[in-house]
Amino acid sequence: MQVWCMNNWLKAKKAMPLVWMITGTVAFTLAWQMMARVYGPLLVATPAETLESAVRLFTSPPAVAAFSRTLGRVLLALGLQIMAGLAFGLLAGFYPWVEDLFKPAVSILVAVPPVALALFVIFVFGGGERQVVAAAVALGFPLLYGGAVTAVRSVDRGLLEMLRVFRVPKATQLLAAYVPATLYSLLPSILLAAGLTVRLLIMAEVIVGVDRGIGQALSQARVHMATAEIFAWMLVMAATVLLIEGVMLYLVKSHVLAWQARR
Amino acid sequence: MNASTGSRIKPFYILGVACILIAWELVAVRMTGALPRLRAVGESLLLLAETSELGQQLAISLHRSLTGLTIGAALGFFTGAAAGFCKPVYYLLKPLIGILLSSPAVVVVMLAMVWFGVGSSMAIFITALFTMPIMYVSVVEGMELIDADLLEMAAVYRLSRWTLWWSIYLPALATAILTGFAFAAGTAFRKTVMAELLGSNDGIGFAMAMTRFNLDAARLFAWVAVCLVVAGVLEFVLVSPVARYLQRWRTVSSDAGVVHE
Repeated sequence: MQVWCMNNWLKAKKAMPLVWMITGTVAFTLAWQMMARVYGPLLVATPAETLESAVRLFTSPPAVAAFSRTLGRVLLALGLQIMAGLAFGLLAGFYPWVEDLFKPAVSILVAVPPVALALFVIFVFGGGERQVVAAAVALGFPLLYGGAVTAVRSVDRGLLEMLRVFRVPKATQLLAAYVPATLYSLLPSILLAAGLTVRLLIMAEVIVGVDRGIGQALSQARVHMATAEIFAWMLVMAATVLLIEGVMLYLVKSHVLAWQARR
Repeated sequence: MNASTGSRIKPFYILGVACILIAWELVAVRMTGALPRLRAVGESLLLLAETSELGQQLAISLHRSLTGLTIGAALGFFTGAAAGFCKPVYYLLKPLIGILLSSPAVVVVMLAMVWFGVGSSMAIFITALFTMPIMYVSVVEGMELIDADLLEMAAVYRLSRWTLWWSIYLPALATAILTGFAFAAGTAFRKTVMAELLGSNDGIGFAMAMTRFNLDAARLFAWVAVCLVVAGVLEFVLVSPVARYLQRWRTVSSDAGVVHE
């Protein structure tokens, strides 16, 4: 599914009938407007109100601070996830027994309802910024770990054979063959993980109740029944996810694909 | 994880389980107050079962997630089939699906609590809303894989619409529907629990939220254990048979699609 998502995205990017995209967005906005008309501003904010609210968010210092705080946490969590996923995934990919050893823990992380893990964090470690990031890392970890394990197993056998024949040192083998190859096939997972981490982190912020961050801003908006503000945050977050994915995809295209072509 | 596990008993898997339990027990004994002892969790679980609270809350949550899953999967199937048939529908739905896939469920729960109030309909709405895109993506993918030559042949032989659906589309879509449903089922229960935790007066999620106010960690972990059992049963009955079945054609990672907040 994840590979499909990315392939589809690439395909759609390449030959996207712009007219249909615009029509789709316009139709969506119209339907939204109608819903807002029918149910009133308290239940559904109109698109105009939402946009206005979003603009207001970007001109109010506390909202910008909350956004940058959360974005910082997201990037930190994502970086840690990639490192942990790669490290443990490489190990588990090399040694099947390590995979067996990790399997119960990973299965639990996948199966547990994320909200329950957030509650667990509160109980055991208390609330706080580090705990929120840790929860997001733990919940996002299985995706990258699984991706890395699969990636290690799909490293070009011929290349490995050659490295062995030429007696390339183990460390160089790891750095020159495994890490680049794994990173490359890990890219779809990393793209997915970016969106996932944003969602997980905000969930953790709301449940754990950490101060300063989008989670707190959302909770406050809810208390004040500021529907337009909640809608605006949703819009901002969707845009952020798209932006992160776009930047990563750009980096991928300019660096990794170039590396592939050179090879 | 890949499903290349087979049925042989793996010592390191058991060692992994043992490590978790031992580490848990060590932390519980060393840092009193942080974690409840495993024994306490077991006792809580027994107490829940004896007072029939377990059965009641589990039935409520399962009922909600099944209803939500049915609605969401049906919606996802029909919209997915429509999008697969006609590109304009695909692009019309694109913004909606995009927003659904990128917004944190907690935010939507906050809105749904305003729309539906606190209770069953809100949890069902959330479950349906977040299982729908999974089924949709799966069906759209399935439609793309349908053999164009086969369709051309059907057109040449002027097969009736009924035959076309019955003998070409449905068999081809069966795998997509199965995958989508298996992934959606895992998501459904977790979304229901989340919706209940934030806004409901009953169900497992509510029971978990109550443990926070009562500071009853043992009971929280008892509920978590219940959730793990439900997820395990789903995995055993639905996800891994489907993954194994599909592996004949392509590699499927049974976890990747299910990871959601």
